[in-house]
Amino acid sequence: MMLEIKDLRAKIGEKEIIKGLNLNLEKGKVHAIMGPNGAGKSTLSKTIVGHYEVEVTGGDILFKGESIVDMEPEERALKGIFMSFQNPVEVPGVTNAYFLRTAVNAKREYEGKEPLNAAEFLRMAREYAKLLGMKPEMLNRSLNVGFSGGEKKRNEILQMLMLDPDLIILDEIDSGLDIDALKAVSEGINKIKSPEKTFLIITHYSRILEYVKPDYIHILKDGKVVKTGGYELVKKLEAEGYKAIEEEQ
Amino acid sequence: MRELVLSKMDLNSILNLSTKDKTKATAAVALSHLGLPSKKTEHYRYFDITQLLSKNLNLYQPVAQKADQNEKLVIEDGAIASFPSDLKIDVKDEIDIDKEHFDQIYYINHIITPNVITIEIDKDIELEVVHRFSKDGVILPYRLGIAVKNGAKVTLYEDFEDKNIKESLIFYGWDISLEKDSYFELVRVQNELKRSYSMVASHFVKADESSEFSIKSFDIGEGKICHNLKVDLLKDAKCDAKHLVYTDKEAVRANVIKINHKGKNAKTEQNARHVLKDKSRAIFDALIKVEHSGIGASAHQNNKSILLNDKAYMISKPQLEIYIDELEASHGSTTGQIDPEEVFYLRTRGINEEEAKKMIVLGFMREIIEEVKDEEKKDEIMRRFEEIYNIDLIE
Ligand SMILES: Nc1ncnc2c1ncn2[C@@H]1O[C@H](COP(=O)(O)OP(=O)(O)O)[C@@H](O)[C@H]1O
Ligand SMILES: [Mg+2]
Repeated sequence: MMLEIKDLRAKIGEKEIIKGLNLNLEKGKVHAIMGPNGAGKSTLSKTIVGHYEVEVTGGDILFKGESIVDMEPEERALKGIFMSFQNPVEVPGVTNAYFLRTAVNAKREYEGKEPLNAAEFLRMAREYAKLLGMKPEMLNRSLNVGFSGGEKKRNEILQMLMLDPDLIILDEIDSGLDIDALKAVSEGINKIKSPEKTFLIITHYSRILEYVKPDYIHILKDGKVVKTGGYELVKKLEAEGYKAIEEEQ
Repeated sequence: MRELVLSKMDLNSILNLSTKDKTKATAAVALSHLGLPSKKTEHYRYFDITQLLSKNLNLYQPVAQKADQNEKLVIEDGAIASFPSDLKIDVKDEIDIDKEHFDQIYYINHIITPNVITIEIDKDIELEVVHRFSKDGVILPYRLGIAVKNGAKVTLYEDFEDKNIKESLIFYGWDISLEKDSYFELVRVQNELKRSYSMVASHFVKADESSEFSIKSFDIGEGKICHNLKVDLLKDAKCDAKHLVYTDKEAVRANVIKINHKGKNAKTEQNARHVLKDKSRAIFDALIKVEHSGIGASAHQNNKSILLNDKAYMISKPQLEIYIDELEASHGSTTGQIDPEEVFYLRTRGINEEEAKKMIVLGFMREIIEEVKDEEKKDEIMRRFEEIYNIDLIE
């Protein structure tokens, strides 16, 4: 098992948002989470990566069998957890290239590898940028500053490719993307899909799931996983809405 | 050397310190209108000038020495120590000074400075100026004047070096006159990482028709240092002001800047960044005034500050004072901590908390450093700020 979430409870401020959530993510599989606005999807992913506002009040999260709830965010990242942000922040004055190289070399150091030199790094970054339809100049710009919505999302996928994580959480990577950007992002995802990696794709729409076929669909509602099924659940959702699934409970 | 406690002197005895030349007479008249600086003086409200002036110090008057030829202009304890051979440099009793400066020290400095080092530039040059200080326990007053002739383009890099002069108080400043169509860029780096002296520097810039004054100031570290700058912009003149300040420990660093749009169609673009650590204090008191005669003005002003801990104290006062009906203007100021969302973002990519904060703070500062055009100088200034890497940014 890549990730086991057991009876997880978490709150932001005084408000409990994750309310006894159970979820298993299998190695080599693509899981999708769907659910209405405000169900707690973003909070769940923030909890997995250790956001400072989220307080875990019960249950546990095991990554490759090891509890991560008390780990610093950077430690979780170095162990192989990656999340793409729904709204990536802008960091003025820190170039995308400098940031990426620092991140990649932090991971290499953690794994006991030699750091990438500037030339090796650039070759790799340019190649992935090209795959994602990003202009090479994007690497020299300040991180996310003035990037369009689509550029920010492509840049998240660029980071994913460069860091080569094992558990990849994509929080609404598809929202606000035009069809070209969606294709580019999906291509990036499919590029590193492997039996060693697990995806958790959070989405409102079935669109992206046509490009990246999920093995499991989970429906999240009011801080809990209320239903798990296969791809057919997407069709049912599209036809009948969340309401119908609720009533089945 | 005579002992001087400025705070114990009245106006007349200060005026009596001056010789009777025209410059000092002008300064005396202006000072008697302004009076002496006190706790109530608006631009010193957060700087505590009276504490500085009440120190028991000896008046050190720079003595002319035999100067060497060197690539750099070196001013040692207020006197020329070396200068480039092709530089038109002189020492004069009298120069034209501003009759309406807001700062009392501007005039006191002129009154107690025996003579002014003057530079005249009529061609395109880059000049490095180094101020060296070695006298402890003194009040050291000196002044520099620079005249940039029609159409000349000048970049001046200004730097400071000192030997253990903790107790000294330095008064210095530039009187800068820019003739028509000239361009003058002043890049000032004042890096005071280990020791600290006190300084009040008072400058005046007169930018004539279609000239451009550009200042890029970099204040780093400790010390009790105030720069008072007044800029008068005539028709079609431009002012481009960029300021980056990093303070720590007990530092008090002030930039008081008043830019006057006197002529038509003048433009000002002013951006400041401050990063404050420990119990340090920084003051950014910047006024752009557009006078009745300043029609067609464009004036933009902005300051952003990061406080690295809650003992640090930022006084940010960007102000626009406008006497015309239509203009293009904006101003703003923000002060806060390092954005935790930015730190978190970098941490989720495997970068540790301390490194993440350093990257963000240096990035914040880099936006101003990038304004320095010369690559070598830019890198050198970046390195000086990166020395902060050796200091723990996290409490
Ligand atoms: N920082 C926060 N402070 C307070 N409430 C929050 C915060 N973030 C999210 N919430 C609340 O938690 C609930 C779940 O939000 P979220 O996880 O963003 O849902 P989803 O991603 O499924 O749309 C919502 O009711 C939202 O208002
Ligand atoms: Mg969400």
